[in-house]
Amino acid sequence: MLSFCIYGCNSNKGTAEKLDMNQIISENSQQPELEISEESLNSIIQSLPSPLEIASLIKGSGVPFNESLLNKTDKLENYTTDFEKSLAMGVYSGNLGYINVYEKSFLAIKYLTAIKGIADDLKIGQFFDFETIKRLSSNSDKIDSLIYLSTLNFEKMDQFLRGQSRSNLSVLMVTGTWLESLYLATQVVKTKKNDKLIERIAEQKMVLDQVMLILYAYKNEDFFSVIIDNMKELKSEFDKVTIIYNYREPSTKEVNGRLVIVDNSSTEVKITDEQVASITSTIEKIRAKIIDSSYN
Amino acid sequence: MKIIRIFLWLVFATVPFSVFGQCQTDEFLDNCASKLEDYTFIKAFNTDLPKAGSEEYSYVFSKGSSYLIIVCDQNINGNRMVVNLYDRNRKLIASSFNPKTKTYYPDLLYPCTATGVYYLEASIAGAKGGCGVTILGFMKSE
Repeated sequence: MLSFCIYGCNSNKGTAEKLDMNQIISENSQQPELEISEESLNSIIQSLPSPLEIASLIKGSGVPFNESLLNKTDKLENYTTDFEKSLAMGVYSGNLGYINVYEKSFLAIKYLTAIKGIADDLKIGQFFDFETIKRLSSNSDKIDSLIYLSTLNFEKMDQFLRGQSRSNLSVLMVTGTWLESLYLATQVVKTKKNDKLIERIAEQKMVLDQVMLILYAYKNEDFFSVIIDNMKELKSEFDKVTIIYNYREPSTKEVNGRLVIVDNSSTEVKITDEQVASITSTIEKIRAKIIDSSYN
Repeated sequence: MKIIRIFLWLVFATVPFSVFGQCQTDEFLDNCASKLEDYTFIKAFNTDLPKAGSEEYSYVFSKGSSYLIIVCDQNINGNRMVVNLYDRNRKLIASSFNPKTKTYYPDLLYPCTATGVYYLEASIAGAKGGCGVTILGFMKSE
C-alpha cells in the first residue's frame, strides 16, 4: 500500500507549502489507498460548504418549509457510539441550518436540545452556548445572531475535536451535515423541479470527492469502511455527471470603497433527470442507514 | 527596579505583538463579523503570525452565491493584513491591497459564477508579524 504525506507535513506557520486540492483529489481518485496528512485533512474539513448555502437555495426556490424532511429528535437513543453520534450530530446540524433559514424558531429549540445532548456526550458541549442560542431562537428578529452564534459554536467544536486528535469525529460530523444538505435538496427537487437546485446537486460531485478523501483517512476503522462502501455507491452515480469549467480572466471594480470582483469564468453542468433520480434514491438509502443506525 | 524596567522593555520590544492574542478574542471577532451587513456568516479564518508570512485557507464557492470576504486586522500602519483570493488553479482573482494606489480594501465581494475550490491567502508583511481575521459570508445571488 502506497502511503506518503501530501504537502505541508513539516510546515512552519507562515511558510506552509500550498495544498493543491485539485491534485490531492485527482490523486485520490486514482489511488484510493493514498493517505493524507493531518494538515490536508484539516484543510479539507474547513473547506466543505456550509449547509446554510443549500438551505438558502431551497428557500429561494419558493418551496415551503417541510418538517417531515427532518431527522426526528426522538431518535437520539439510536446513536450509541461516538461515531454514530458524530454522524447524527452532523445530520441535526444540517437540519438546524434548514430550520434557521426558514426562521422556524419553534423547532430550533428542539433541535438545539438534541445537538446539545450529543455534544455533551462527545465531551464538546462546553463550546455550545446553549442558553444564549436558545434565547436568540425565541426571537425572530435575532435570526442573524442565532445563525452567527450557532455557526461559530459548531466551528469551535470542530476545531476542538481536531486539536484533540479526534479528527475522525470531525470527519463524520461534516459528512453527516453535507449528506443531510444534499438529502434536503434532492427531496425538494423530487416534489418540484428546480434548475438551480439541480445544478447545485450536480456540483456536489466536487464536494463528494473531498468527503471521500477525508473518510479514506480513517479507512482502517470498521465504521468508516462501512460508510465508505455506502459513499462509493453515491460516487458511482455522481461519476455519470459532467461538469465543465470555462476559465475567463476576472476583473475588479471599486464600488463605494469595496472591491467587487467580476468573474467571467463559469461551470456548466450536464445531468439528466434519470441521474438526479438515481442520486436521490442512493442518498435516501444512505441517509436512512445513518439516521436509523442500521449500517449493515 | 532598573532591572525590572530593562526586562519589561526587552519583553515588549522583542515579543511579537501577536503573542498577546489581540485578534483571538470574541470581541474582536464579533466586531469584524458585524461588518457582514446582510450577508450570512459562514466562517472566520484566524491568522496569527509571529513574523512576516502567510496562511492559506480554502473553501468551496458555489455558482449563484455572492461571497463577502472581510479583511479585519489591527489596522497598524506598515503591518496590515492582505487577503488574496485564488481560483482552483491558483490564479489570482483579486487582492485586498492595490499596490498601485496603495489602497487596502476592507472587503472583497465575489459573485461566484464557477463552482469549485477557492483559496484565501492571508499575509502580513511586517517583520514582527501580526494578526487578523478573515470573515466569510454569503448571500444568494439574484
